[in-house]
Amino acid sequence: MGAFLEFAFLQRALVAGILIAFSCAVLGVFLVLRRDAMIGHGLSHITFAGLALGLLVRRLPLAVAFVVAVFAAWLLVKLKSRAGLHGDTAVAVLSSGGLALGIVLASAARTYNAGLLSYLFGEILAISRFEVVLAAALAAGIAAVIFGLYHKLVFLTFDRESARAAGLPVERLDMAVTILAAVTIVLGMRVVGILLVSALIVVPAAAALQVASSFRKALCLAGTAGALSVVLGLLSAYVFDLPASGAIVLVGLVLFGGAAAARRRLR
Amino acid sequence: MGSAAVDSALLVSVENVSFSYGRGLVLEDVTLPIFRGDFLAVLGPNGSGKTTLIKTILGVLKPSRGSVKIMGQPVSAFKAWERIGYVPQKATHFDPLFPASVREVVAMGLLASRRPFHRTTRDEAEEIARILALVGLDKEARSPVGRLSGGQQQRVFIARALLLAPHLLVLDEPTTGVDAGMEEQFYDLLSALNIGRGITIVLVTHDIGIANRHITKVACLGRKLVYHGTHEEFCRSAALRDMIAGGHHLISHRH
Ligand SMILES: Nc1ncnc2c1ncn2[C@@H]1O[C@H](COP(=O)(O)OP(=O)(O)OP(=O)(O)O)[C@@H](O)[C@H]1O
Ligand SMILES: [Mg+2]
Repeated sequence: MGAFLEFAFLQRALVAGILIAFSCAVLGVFLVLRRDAMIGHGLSHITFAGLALGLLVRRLPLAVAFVVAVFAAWLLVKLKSRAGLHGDTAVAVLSSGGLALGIVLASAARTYNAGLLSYLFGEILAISRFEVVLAAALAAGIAAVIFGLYHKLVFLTFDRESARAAGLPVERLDMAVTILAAVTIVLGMRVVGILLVSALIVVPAAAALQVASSFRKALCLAGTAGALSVVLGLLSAYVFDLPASGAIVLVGLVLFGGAAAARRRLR
Repeated sequence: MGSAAVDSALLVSVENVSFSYGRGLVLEDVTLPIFRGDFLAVLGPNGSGKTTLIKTILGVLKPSRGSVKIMGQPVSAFKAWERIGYVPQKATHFDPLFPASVREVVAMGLLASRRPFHRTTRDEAEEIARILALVGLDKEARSPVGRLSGGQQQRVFIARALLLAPHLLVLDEPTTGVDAGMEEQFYDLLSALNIGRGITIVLVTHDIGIANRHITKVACLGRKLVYHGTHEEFCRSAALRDMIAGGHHLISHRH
């Protein structure tokens, strides 16, 4: 354990991982309760297309992915409200488009190589000092937006129809939540990779909702479960020489199993 | 043109409203004034546009033609939404795992209308307790809302709509899933709010059997406004007989 914390790269991975997992999990509570759990999955596929585009034009793939993901989030909200598509249909349409485009672009860029693979599976141990600062800034931003809009978001999440009739700016609030989701996805991608990033959003939130009795508790528990997944996941990756991304998500699933069992007991 | 007194008595004015979700009109040229103090029952068979009409009044849907005014203002410019209480149809279709207590659900509308980081004041907490007692849920205040029965949940939504002391209460089939005894009590409560506090009530229902002791006006929808008048006239009118003869199940299915 002592040796574990001596490595600078492990310290960075821990700090950034905890911050990012915490943000993903808190946002996840809102998304899961709105039955928008798959939005993370959809946006991660679009992010893949963004990355491939960045690799093709050989400019800051992360920044390009970021712009593409935020644009996709905007498009998603518009598709839902204008084209009258159901939430999951809009997500499915957009995510298949993203994946298909990503495959074509990546092939054009001839980058089916280690670079792209590291984005698919995550590379938390290679996180830079700059990315740690970025993660901290964005986690703070997300917390500010969520707590500033807290009561409105809770009302909207619980009962959309009444929130709209009460004069809340429903579409703008949707936009805020979806764009935050896109931001966390791009960050989360560095931690566990595109293939697993939606787990950071869904799994801790689902675990918390098994046992939470109030909304505040659900947010705290989800954040804690997310952070704990990163700590225990990294630790077991270090001790048993496992891939970090897989270990982090598996720990999350174990926590979910524990919460589900605890719920049965509580009944 | 009516006098100023008549105009200020007009709370909601639906003027020549038509609405379409895409193909075909769901509402056609509906004109319906709602006056302060009315207890209006909106009747009509499934799919006749009752919920759609309610949603255009609440500004959730924009009419394709015509206009809606609330308290003299076009809906799009209307701001005082906390003056309007709403219990949507299917309000109870939320996630049963939703982590909120009965108290929290009742306070939702109030808190969302306050500035960020607002916490319930002592006055507000007392008001919440009073309203919960009024709908008979004082003992359940701290229970998770997902653990309540369907009828109890419906009462939670009614309490939430009442909390902001509305001038207008809009209820879309609020007693679906409420047992007969509670339904009776519920209509007595609505009547007390209507007569005692002068709250205007718009009630969508299939159940004039029970409601008819309390309502003052009736509107029948069937895409167009088929009938609009006082409750007494309605009982004597051909509209009632036509609708029953037409197989529209206006009267309670529980006889
Ligand atoms: N979101 C929607 N998209 C498309 N069509 C809709 C939508 N909502 C309602 N409709 C259609 O509009 C018509 C009127 O629906 P509405 O919900 O207003 O009826 P209602 O009188 O409230 O019926 P009920 O008694 O079943 O509640 C129906 O034919 C329905 O199929
Ligand atoms: Mg309806």
